[in-house]
Amino acid sequence: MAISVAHEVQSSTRLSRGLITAVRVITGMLWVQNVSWKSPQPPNYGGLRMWTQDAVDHPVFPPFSWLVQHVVLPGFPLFGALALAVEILLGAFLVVGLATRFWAVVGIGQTLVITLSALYVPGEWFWSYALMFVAHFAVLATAAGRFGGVDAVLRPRWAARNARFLLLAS
Amino acid sequence: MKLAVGIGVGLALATLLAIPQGLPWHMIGLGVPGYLVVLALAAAAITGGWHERRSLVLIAGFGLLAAAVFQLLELVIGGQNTLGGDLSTVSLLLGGAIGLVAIGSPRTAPQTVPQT
Repeated sequence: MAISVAHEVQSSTRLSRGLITAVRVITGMLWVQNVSWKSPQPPNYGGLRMWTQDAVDHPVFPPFSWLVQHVVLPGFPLFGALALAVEILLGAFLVVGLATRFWAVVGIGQTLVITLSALYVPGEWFWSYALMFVAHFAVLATAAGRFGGVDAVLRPRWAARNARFLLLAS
Repeated sequence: MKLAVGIGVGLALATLLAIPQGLPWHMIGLGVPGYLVVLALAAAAITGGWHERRSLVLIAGFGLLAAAVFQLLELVIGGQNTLGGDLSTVSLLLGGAIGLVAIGSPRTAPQTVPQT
């Protein structure tokens, strides 16, 4: 389905391609801004631990809360660094549109983690998380890096090298 | 190479997102030295892309990579923050670096893109 949607967009208007580019860049900027309030210094990574603790204090999915309580929080210096690395790279790769479909899938996974941690925190808006999913689904379905992104430039090179994973990831 | 111009222009425009204070428009952190570094490297990317100078695009890309690593190291170590940035700066600089290095690297023979 993603392939046929991408093909449709490729043969569409300049406006459609521009909008797909904008969706990808803005989704990337979501992650860029999302790391601005965090710190790379353990053990709390600038408040990241507090939001992770919310998965236990306001459980959305009990097995996930158990995992956070017994695995993630005890090993937070490692898991916090991993979360920061993933979010920094999500912003970097989505903004320039490199391996975009792969990073859209990573973004869906990270959105799921954030949703399961923060959805039931008082004052949170359900649609914030739903729209995060929607944005990444759109980037994935349209292979948005092929429009104004690095994927558009590199795919011919990857095709020449028969780099199947990179072609699939883009 | 046209995309290098786009990335350079995008980086230059992104510095505007450091000006407003408070959410939602303050998206990245940058001090005056940070502005100078980003704008200089964005200019290099634009010039390199415009004139099809692969070496200049690569210099801009590796320059951004060095700036991203430098910013991250200063944040990890703590204390001085020369570029005046935060982790959003690292992410943005890294994105520009990855993009410019990827499109500036030597290419193999071009072929038609298959639909996968």
